[in-house]
Amino acid sequence: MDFKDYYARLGLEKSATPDEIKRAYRKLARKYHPDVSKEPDAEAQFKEVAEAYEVLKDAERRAAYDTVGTQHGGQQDFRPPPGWNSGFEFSGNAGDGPDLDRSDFFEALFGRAAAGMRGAHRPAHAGGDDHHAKVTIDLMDSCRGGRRTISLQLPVRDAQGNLQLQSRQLDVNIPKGIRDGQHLRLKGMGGPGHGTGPAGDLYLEIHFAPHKLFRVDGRDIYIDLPVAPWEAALGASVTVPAPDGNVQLAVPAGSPSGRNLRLRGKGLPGTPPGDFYAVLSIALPPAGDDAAQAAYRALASSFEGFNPRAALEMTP
Amino acid sequence: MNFVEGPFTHAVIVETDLQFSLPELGRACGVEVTLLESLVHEGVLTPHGDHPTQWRFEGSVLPRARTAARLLLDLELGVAGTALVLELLDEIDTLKSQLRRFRG
Repeated sequence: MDFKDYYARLGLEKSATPDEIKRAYRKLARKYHPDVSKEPDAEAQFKEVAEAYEVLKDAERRAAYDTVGTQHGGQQDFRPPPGWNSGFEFSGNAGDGPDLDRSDFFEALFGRAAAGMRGAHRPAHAGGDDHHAKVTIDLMDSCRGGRRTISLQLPVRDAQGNLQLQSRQLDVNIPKGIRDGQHLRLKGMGGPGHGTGPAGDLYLEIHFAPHKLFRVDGRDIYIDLPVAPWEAALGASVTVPAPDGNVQLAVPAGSPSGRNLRLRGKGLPGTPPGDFYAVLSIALPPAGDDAAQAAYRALASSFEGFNPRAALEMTP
Repeated sequence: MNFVEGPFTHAVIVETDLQFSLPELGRACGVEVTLLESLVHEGVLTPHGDHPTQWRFEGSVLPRARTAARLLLDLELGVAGTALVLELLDEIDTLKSQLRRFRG
């Protein structure tokens, strides 16, 4: 495993004072915290910064880390010397840092227990931790509801104590009408209980995969509906795909581009259900051959007084 | 290794079908209840009920409570600072969605 230079990660010298460490961490945490950051890899960056701070802010851990760093002497590949930490007894509150996975390097030095959940002492028979995960479903899963198999990646320790990603599949009933960004609770599917305590719950944050036809805003569903110029001008009845299947839609005569046609209650199901909107866009037929060009010229001569840019004209 | 846990799991929508007691919300956010109490006193979270033992939180507060807990612990913000950051994040969300609508 790679040796982690925690000082470098916080941009500090080894002689940094506790105040300097705190200042450096806070500055980087504000820059990379996933809740406030716009950096593309904010979460990974924040994890490293938080881990460095968790070690360096604690005098005991920092002393242990410095000892290892001196013995290690700058090679890239790192193995903790056997029994290296027998001289230290860590009294600190083990899990008071951010609730994040720690690197193998951290765990090799400070143990799995130190990488646990934040919070103080756990009673012997406490309930298991609640877990959180984000999952992506199709819009149609919400429109129709019903059973879906969802795959989650779960970090699990193997017999050698190495962290591995295990694929966990859950059969979940997707409630009809669930919206993008809402959460599902699966009772008892979180972390195992301690002693006789009950298992924790699993929370799934639901997101919709982008759909090739539909856009979703809350409960409402939108589709872009191209119409021919004469359909927009004269009115027409057109067939439109909706989540429940095709619907006939009346395009009123004189519809401008961008007009929203609403089908009430045809959005996501629920009480109340959302609406379905077709957003008109006027599609021009190509003026590819002589006949088509003649048709456009005839149109132009029929509308000699028409100025599409009337609204742009400045008053003298 | 793959395994399917069966027969199948009943899921409820947190935002519409659930309410949390104080300890339940603490567990769901992975934080001590005292931290949530301080967020209530700052007006970040508004439960129903008078006393902490009777508090019921709407399911829809879960994302906000988790974000608040992360900001408090990770950025070492005070409760008032957390409340301010949350309000600014809300405002950014509103502006972003207005911008999306504006751009079509």
